[in-house]
Amino acid sequence: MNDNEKKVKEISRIKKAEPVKPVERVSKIESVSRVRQPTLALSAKERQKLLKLLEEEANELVKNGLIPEKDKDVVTKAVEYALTSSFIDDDSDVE
Amino acid sequence: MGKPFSKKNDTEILILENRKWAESIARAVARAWKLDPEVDGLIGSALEALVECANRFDPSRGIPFRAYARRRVHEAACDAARSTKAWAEGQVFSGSLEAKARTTAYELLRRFPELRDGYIPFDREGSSLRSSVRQLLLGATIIYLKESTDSQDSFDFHDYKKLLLAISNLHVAHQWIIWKVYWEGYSLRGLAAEWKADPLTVIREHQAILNYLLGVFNKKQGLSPPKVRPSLKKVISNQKLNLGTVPFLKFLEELGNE
Repeated sequence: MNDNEKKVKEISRIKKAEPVKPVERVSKIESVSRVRQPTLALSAKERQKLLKLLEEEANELVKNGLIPEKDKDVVTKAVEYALTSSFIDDDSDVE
Repeated sequence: MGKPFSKKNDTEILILENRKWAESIARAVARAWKLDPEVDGLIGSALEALVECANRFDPSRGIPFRAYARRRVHEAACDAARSTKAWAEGQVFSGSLEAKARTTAYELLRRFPELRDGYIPFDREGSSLRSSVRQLLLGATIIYLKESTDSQDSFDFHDYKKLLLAISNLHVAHQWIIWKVYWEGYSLRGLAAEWKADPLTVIREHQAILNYLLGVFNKKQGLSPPKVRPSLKKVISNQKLNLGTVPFLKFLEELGNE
């Protein structure tokens, strides 16, 4: 026998197989709440609220120095125009 | 021979059923931008887009027709608005506040096309309506900044110094996104197509950038610029973009020297 070959000295004893545990029953999945993207299908009152929120946030960003005071009206109006152009009257179908 | 007839009938039905809806989109755009939807041709353009969408619509894809057509119809109405005489009169950026706001709104809709679909741009990682509104305001601010520097109209570097410096602190890959989207006018999906990237990757990176910039102004403690996602790094490497020469830095240097 070649010296380089490894000699099998001992075969380890075959261990007793452990019993297979029963698979636990899958618990009932609770209903998955759907993540919905906010839509612009808003009532007139909700639209007013959104535009008020826009004004509040613009004031906050002016205060924090992001929007220069002199440009606040243009920037706020631009967002308002973009939002209101997407307020469709017949929007009841938007999912 | 039956199928083409059926397709033709389906197309006609789609047009008839959605005609008023397309008109209401044109009216909304006209109302927002204080134009006359009929005189200014917005309704005509919206209806043309409706017909085009009805012809191309493939119901086997499982997308409802209005979800498929809305963005295109809105875009057509906006483009018609932009080519009106009323718009052209205020087209020069040094015009009235209304004209500046209209131009900025038009550009904002190109960067946030979800608005055309009737959705408020929404960070799926749990942002509120308030933070979506902030993102829109920041987007409009960067657009306005870009337009102002182009027109040299009462632009004062110091007014925007903090914002410009915050952008220059971003990873160069993110500076590229800002440059491409706000300076070169790419839509996020258009940029993703050019970079052969997943549009969602570019959209998420853009949101991460805006959140960071807003955080800078809200003086959040321990804020560091967002890391670049590995998928975007791979895209940039594939595109062989020379990250050392992001045009934004050159632009800043030029502004600083003025």
